[in-house]
Amino acid sequence: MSEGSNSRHFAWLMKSCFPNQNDSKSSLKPSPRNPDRQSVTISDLPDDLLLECLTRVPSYSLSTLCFVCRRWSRLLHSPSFFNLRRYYNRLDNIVFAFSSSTPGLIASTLSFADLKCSVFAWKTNINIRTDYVFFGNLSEFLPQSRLAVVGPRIYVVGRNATLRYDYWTDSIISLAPMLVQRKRFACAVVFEKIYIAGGSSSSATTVDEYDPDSNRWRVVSNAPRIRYGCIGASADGVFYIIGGLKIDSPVPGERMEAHIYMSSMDLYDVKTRAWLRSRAVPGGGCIIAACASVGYIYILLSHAVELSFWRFDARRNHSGFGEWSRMKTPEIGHQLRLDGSIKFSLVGARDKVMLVLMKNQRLMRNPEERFIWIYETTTGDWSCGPDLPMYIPRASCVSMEF
Amino acid sequence: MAIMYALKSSDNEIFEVEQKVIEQSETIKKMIEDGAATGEIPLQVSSKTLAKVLEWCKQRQHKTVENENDDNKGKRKKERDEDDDIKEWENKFSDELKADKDVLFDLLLASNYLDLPALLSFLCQLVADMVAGKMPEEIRRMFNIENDFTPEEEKAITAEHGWAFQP
Repeated sequence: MSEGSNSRHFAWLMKSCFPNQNDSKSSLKPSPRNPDRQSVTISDLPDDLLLECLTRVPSYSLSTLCFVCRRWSRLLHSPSFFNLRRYYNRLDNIVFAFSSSTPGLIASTLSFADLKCSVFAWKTNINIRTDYVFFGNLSEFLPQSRLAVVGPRIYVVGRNATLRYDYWTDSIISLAPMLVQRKRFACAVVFEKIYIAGGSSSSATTVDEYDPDSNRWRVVSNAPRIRYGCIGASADGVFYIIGGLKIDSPVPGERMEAHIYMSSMDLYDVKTRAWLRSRAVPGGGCIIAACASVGYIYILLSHAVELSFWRFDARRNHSGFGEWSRMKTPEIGHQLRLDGSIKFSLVGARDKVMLVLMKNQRLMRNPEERFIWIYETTTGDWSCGPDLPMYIPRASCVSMEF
Repeated sequence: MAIMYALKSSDNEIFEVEQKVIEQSETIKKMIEDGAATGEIPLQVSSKTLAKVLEWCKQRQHKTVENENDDNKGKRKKERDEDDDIKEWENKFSDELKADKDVLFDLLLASNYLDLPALLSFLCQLVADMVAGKMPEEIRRMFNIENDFTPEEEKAITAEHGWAFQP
């Protein structure tokens, strides 16, 4: 945001209420406009007033507005715009399911605004050529990458490249890659910055931060331990690094090896740059999926033959902070064997949590099996969601609000 | 006898207004409370715009006074009729502003400066409704906005969005 964008609540406004009594010509401070201009146009509005107008535009129209002029595009991409829409409770939520295709990325979207309508289904509306921004093998790159959303932009954070897809302008660019190559790491967005930790690399001992404004990565902390195959989530200013396999070398200096599953999570407070006490996940299972949703962290555990679903209270100024509750488990057990052929992922979409199941051989699936489950955090009930299109065989999912 | 205040527009026109009407402006209310509103209150708002501000304030004042005088009996029906009246009035008010965009944005600035949150919110919604569903070029024409994308950028956008720059 540019400076001086907030014309209200400024001291001059209050001071201006007291005109100098000795000066008969004095008047209240002029409103911010060019006095030489006769006509007043939308361009004369200060940023905060223009934002007040743009915030009230329905979500379907927002992408078009980015093309009006540079200023509108800048404002629509600013954190202030999203904060204001959140404040007015105008945010809509959609989930993206990305998959690689030839010659680029393909994605389906599911809008929760359609939940009550008969059209609650995935729409495949994104087909992006990536061959001019990414030269590797996308079908290998994407499953190893993590997705992060900042405003209307989705970052595909991968081992050797970072791609940014802008949903509104439907364009993709390549950005600075991470500092050390990681696979199967934790990734989350806290205060409009991307944080990563863990992963396969033995040098991945740090927490790294990506600033979208400057397109720079930097190390912000040392992680208490390296987790391979961990999951990232963000709630109340804390970066959660959840589960994964413990990595260390049996003999110092030797090759790092993955050992045991860790039923715990590390909590990194982004503002104070401090580590909070690590938390053990109850239930003694293996963490297979996790996400954040309105102040809570949700975790799915596998106990070989069954699943359990847990909620962690992540609201730090709340007396319940740190409490675990066992929640209702989706009834998928009898349909699917938990034999490792299924990949689970959880996506927090405001007050909903979506569970996405992906089978290695999707085409051989039983039509009775359901692959998308939706959990209402307000009622605690699971329901089946619309299945992903067949041509999205292994999706990377992420949710966006706008 | 209602207390009257004299507001002076930037082009030196005097508007005599009841205190109750003009107190909706938090800015002026504060001045009155602090005893700073003696004689004419000079405002950096043109007479044309100030007339619109007062039109809005009077309508709102009218509405609150009537509500206070209501008894519960028959209130529902009356409220419904009133709602229809207000809608009609607001539609007329909006249409006039849509036709004269100079006044629209000047009024928006004035509502911010005079701290009239209801008017500000109403006008922002009006602008939002005006741009919703329109093409970029239509919006630029409507509001006299300069297209400051470079020709290269515009070409790139046009290539991907055939629709984006259609008139």
